[in-house]
Amino acid sequence: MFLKKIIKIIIPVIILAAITYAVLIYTGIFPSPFALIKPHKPKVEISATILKEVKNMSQLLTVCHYDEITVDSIEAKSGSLLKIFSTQRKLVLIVKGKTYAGFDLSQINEKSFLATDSSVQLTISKPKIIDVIVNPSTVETFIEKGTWSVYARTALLQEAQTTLTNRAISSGILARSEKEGVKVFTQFFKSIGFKNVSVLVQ
Amino acid sequence: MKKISRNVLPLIALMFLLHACVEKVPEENPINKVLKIKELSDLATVEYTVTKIIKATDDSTWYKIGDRKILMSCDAKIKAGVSLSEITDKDIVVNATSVSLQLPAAKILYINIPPASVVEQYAEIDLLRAEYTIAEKNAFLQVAEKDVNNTVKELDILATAEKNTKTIIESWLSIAGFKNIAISFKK
Repeated sequence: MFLKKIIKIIIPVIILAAITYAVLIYTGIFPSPFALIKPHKPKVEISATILKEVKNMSQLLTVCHYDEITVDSIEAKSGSLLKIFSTQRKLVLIVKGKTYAGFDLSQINEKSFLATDSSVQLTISKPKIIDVIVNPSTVETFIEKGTWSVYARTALLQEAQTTLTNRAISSGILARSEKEGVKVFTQFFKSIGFKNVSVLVQ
Repeated sequence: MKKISRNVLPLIALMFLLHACVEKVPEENPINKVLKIKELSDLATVEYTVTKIIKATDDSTWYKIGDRKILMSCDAKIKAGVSLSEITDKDIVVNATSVSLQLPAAKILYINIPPASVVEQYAEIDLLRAEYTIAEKNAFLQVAEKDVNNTVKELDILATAEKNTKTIIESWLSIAGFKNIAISFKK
């Protein structure tokens, strides 16, 4: 009898509380249980573009090497037996990078050209790696355990740039760049009327 | 049968437990493959360096006690120029020592955000809040990168690239012996 009385009171109270909570969630005053667990997206504001430097240049880009590598920074293991208590810090990034190779043509001057009526000889310096691009949109955080600073990210990405450069060089990017550069200049000077075009890479 | 299961099952459970405790760190990076090599013939004639300031706050929910704020900055290098491979025979008219050349319109070759240019200027994380992760910071930088991509047209970089390209090509043709040089750009 007593239990019946209690149930009669408690059940409407629970129903009323549930309805009130649902209304508060619906109106956005109260967070849903899922919102409490779900990570909240921070508000991001980007400043207006501030022009810092204008650099005039003369570079012929002849080859772009696309590559994908992983770089990691792992601290020494803790002595803990159970994984849950491990304090090991780990950061693994997947980096998609672009390595550009080409010629710096800023040194081209009158001495670089030897032209007669129908022939031209152009001397250019050897190709080099111009840029290694690892932009934020091509970087993926694969594993992140522990707290890491922006400097750790920078160090890892610089390591990635070195690896990307080395891999591009070992895949023959510079030889290919030289070949393409000679082809581009030969075609250009032939199209403006020179019959014999010779490009020397020194 | 019962005896065997009584002896073997704890052993299997122990094996699983020990296996779970061993960290699997790959000796070699799993993704190490060349995707593509592309041949180009782009003449880069100008590079603009712009700065972006990124401000992120995470205090819009009342049920999370405390705030976390971060201020970061990064530089973006925008390179522009013309693609020499787009020049066709129709674009060149040669008459003795005169040459008329119509070059393709200048374009953005690429945007480069050097990792070394990314700086965390200021961060304030309250006691009950977690630090911003590298993944979150990278996401903020991605927003900045997108913003640079969207606002690049507002800079007069393409006009500067065409002006510089004209100067460079004119100097080459002049050294090659041409006296009257007319250079224009496709629209």
